[in-house]
Amino acid sequence: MQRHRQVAAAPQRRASETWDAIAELVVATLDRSPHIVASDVTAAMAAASTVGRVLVAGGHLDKHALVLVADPVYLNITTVSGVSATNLDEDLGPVPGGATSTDWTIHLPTPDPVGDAVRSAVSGVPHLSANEPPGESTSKSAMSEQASVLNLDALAQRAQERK
Amino acid sequence: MQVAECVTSNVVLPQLRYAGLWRSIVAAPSVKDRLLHNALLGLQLRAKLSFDVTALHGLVLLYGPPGTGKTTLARAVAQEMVPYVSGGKVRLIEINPHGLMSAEHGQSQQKVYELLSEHLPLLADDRMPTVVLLDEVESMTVARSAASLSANPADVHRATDAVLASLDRNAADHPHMVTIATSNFTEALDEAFKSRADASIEVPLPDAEAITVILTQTLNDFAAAYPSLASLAGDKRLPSVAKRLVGADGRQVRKIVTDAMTRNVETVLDPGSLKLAQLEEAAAGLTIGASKGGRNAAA
Repeated sequence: MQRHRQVAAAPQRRASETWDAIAELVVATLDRSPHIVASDVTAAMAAASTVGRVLVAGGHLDKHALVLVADPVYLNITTVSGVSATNLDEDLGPVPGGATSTDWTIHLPTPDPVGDAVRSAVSGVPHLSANEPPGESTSKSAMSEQASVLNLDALAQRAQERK
Repeated sequence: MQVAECVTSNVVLPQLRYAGLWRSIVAAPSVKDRLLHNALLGLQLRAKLSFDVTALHGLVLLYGPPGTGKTTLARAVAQEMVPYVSGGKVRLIEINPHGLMSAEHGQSQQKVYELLSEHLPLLADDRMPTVVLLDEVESMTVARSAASLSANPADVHRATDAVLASLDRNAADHPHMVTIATSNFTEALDEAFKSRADASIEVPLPDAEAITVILTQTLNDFAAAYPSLASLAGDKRLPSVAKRLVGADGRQVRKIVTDAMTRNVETVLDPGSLKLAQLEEAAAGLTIGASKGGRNAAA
């Protein structure tokens, strides 16, 4: 499920505070899943914090989203800088869908001139990627629930009893 | 008002206090079956097929005069669904939308969207089958064609837009959620909202036969505390009292029993001594609203 969250950056927050707000949003969303270890998410966001602050400070996240792909969550996070940041109505609560996420990847944008630094920072770090995020999957949404939602035997028995 | 405050109830069923609710509601079996079947089949189809195929929004509209049991039906169907869903659990979330509409100017649209598109899906994030009861939905889905901008703030119009946008989003993203909306004033509902309902089910006033059942049921329930009322519950003349009550809603019919008891101080002292004549007297004195076309309707 495609979602978009905007986080107020300068002058509302310093770059480090903005990154922390982004990290908290990602952690809060994935923390609802019993399949994901919260400390892994915190560690990944910490590993990306240096380059993340650079992306924020340079205004790159205003134009290029950080994308959390954690099927069924597909979360685009951008920042808002300048006057608009001061009156931005933020929603930094967890994003619906996180409770059933199992695998997850945070895709960081690689705009010039910081692209190489981003690629270098995420190289080898689990769950971080500098690649383009994939298109939104529908594997956990409407079409893919293979198991029946209904207890068909009980329903058939009800029908039988009413005959 | 925070959107979380609009959630008046969030429970996982089955629960004892909801047991028997479905059977206690006197409504045509076709009404009950249609509601239950819509909720169940909608869950199944929306989980297996895309919205493009089914066009199902997971929205059922219950409409009819006040006091006919629409809200109770919506609550009860959640419990009734329990044996028929995998996992044997259903979540029931009740919403009171009125607080949202009194939000600061310009806030209604945002609050409505936040409630329906963000907060509710979070509450149901474990994908357990979930029934959302949106009572008196006309307060948040004002018919835009009928509402004038001079009489209604633009905020009201935008709130309707937010409801529609949320329904569209949830239809595809949250196939485990079923919204049951109730309304006494379908004329006041926005056409686009009504067209999104997978089923619009009328819950009419009870007829004489149904009123007899309600009276019998009520007297039998009273008999738990006043056993002598059980014989009155079985009185063959109750249908004649029921005929006098045609045009009343179920709530009024139940209240007739207590009203009849207040006619004499003897039945105040001992409610179990209630007589059929007192019921007849109370029924004859009942004023049934003009809008219901009742026997004692005001001119």
